[in-house]
Amino acid sequence: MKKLIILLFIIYSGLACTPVTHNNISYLATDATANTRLQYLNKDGDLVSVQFKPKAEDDIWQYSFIADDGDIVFLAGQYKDIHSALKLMIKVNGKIYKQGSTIADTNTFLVVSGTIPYK
Amino acid sequence: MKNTIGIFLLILFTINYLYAHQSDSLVPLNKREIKLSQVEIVGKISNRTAYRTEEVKNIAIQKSNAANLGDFLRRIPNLGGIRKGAAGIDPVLRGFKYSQLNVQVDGAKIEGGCPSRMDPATAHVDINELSQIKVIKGPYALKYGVNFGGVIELVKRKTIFYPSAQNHIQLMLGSQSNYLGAKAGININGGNKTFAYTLSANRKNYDDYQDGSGRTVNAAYKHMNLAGRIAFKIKPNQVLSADADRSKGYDIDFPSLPMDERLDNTQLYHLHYKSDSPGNFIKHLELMSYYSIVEHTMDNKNRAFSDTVVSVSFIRAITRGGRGNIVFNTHGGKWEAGFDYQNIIKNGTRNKHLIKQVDLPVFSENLWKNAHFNNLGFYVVYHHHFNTIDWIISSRVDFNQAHSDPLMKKTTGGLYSEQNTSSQYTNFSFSSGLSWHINTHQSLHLSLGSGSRSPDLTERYIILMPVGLDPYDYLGNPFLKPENNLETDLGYSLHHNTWGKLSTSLFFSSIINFISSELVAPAEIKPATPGVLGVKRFINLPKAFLTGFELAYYSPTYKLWHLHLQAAYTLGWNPNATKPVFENGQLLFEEHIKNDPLPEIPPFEGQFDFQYELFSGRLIPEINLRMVAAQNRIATAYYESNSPGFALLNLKLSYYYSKQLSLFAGINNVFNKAYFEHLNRVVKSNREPIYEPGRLFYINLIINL
Repeated sequence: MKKLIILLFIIYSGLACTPVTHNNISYLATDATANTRLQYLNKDGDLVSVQFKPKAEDDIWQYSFIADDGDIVFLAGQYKDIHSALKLMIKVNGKIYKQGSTIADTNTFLVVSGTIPYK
Repeated sequence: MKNTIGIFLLILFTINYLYAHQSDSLVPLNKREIKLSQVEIVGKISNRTAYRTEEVKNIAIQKSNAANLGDFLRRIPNLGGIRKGAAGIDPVLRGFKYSQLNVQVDGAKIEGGCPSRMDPATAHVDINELSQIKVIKGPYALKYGVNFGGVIELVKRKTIFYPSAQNHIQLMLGSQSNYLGAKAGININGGNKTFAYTLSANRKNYDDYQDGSGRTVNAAYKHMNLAGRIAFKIKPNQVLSADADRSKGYDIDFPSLPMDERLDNTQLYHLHYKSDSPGNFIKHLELMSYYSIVEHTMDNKNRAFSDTVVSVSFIRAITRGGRGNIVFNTHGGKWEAGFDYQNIIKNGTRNKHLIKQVDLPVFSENLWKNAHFNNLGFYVVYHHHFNTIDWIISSRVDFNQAHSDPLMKKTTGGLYSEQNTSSQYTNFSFSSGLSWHINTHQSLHLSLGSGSRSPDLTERYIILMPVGLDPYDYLGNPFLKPENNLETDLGYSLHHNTWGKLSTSLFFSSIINFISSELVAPAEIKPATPGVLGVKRFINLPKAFLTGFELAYYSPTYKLWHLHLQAAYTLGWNPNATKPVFENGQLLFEEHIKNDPLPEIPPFEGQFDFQYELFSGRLIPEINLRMVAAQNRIATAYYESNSPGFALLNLKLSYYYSKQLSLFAGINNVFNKAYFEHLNRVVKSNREPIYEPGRLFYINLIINL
């Protein structure tokens, strides 16, 4: 009887465990030719500011982490060089979730954001 | 149950008598304890008490596909439910709802966290954990605590003291189509003469469903529950028990509300002491304390608006309480006296993340601000049995006190502030009932009761939240007066071996200081929620009325076929209602309406059940026809919409293969009717009512080891 109880509990525990949905999140900043201030929400939910200093036109700034369904994803950027541009992208599990771009717009703080959709 | 036991004892006595007269020798009988596992009483009609009571046993729950309690309760006559989403259907009994009803779990109260009542008390109990549901209609049963409109008592699995050490396992597996999902549960119970335990785990996972016209309704949810209880027989007549219950619900869709429930984390703890005949005078003594904590998280992340503002609310509601009662016999009758205490604390905030703005600003506002509610009550009940009359009389007094930190909220018109929030009341309630047993078959019942309740925390302290049926922000009023329900019931019951059981009751209720709402002048305060028409404040109206009836018939139990008919109707009205009339969002005038129906009252409903026992009751097919009339008595002051009538055909099959294995299957809504209950709220996105599931097949398997 004891073995049966233990077995049933193990089976049930297996059934009862809800798989935690992890998502691979990638923030990408591209198309910039001048220094760009980026702001993003990191894996701990903290707002972080960095300076993206592209050495070439095809330089890419990237930050990846794991997030759960419903987490807020946020990436913003601004440049001060009128000859620069900026394309921001948020990918969820390799697929583009949000994106936005500006060209020669030094006034706007480009923001792409959202919440990771629940499945 | 009493009838069943009575018949069982009668048969035993008769057999024993006949056997004893066949032979003069004495046959020693050994004491043997029998555990009855398959007893079903769908709607018990007691003829010993004047109060209309409905009881539902666990087996009826196991046979149904109902995944949550609110859904199941809607099958009881004159008990409807307000559906706002996938779960948390809020009961409405004879037109009484919310805090007008006393919902308790093994005597404990649970206070939900959500201001919009996503999680009424019934949402915090796993339906598979219940051994019985008892509904006492009217403000008569005063020993359960403050009773205004009725009591819904949820009785969880009991522990059993076995004569020798035993362990039992029950497994439950259920699945269904359309509202695609599954439920699973395991219960292990056992013990010996002095120790008993029960341990359960339950899990449910349901997806969205299609209504009768094939449209998808967002109604997914997941729920898990772990519950355990241990009991010690510290003396032959004394039992001490403790239990813990932990539930988690997550990702629960509420399409009629601006948010979905993301996580519900409920913990409930009980400590219970019971003693039979502790002294010569006191026949029974019971003491109980409880503690429940509900952590409720909701957000708008599945809504289009979350592309701009992500709102996340977190509320913690703590309920503590206890009760004690003694039973003694004196002056020719039975007395019960006792006390109960309840303390509720609610705190909650809503964070708004402006995710389209740089620096990701977050604004925080209070939903509940350290709101406290205390109620201490004392009651006494006296039962007396005359020759043909059972008489019960009871009274209770409640000392109620509530306070909150000052109410403050920023609105488009400035800052709303209310500093004075403390209020206290002393409420008296009484009830009396007579049952006249005209003969062995027929009884007449008459009850009269006056139940008082103090305003709840929402009515006192809500700060500009759209918590009602209509599109307004509601404002609490700390200075509301208690509501009082003066109700009378007249009932008739017939218990006849050949004809079956018939019971009917008529009720009339007059509510004094009825808690309702009135529009606040737009110049005085502006709403805080986008899209609402204005602000309403809770107020007392002088009077409101409710009346209606219940009728039930059960065919005799000895026959192979069983017929059950039931019908119920309630109507309510407000003698002097006020309807605000708007044009282009501007208030034009207020229209005064005489005898406007009260909102959220279910329409007339009738049910027909027929079942036939095949193969000595091992196979029982059942047919259920549910007919619901259109509801055209709608509250115009609340811009309530009418609802069409509908008829549903449901089929059920019960198969008792052995003591160990039972199987229940069924088809709900056989003709795939697209329908909605009158009390279903409207979906935010399309302003249409939430439609109920279309045709679905289900199967439940019960294994007893």
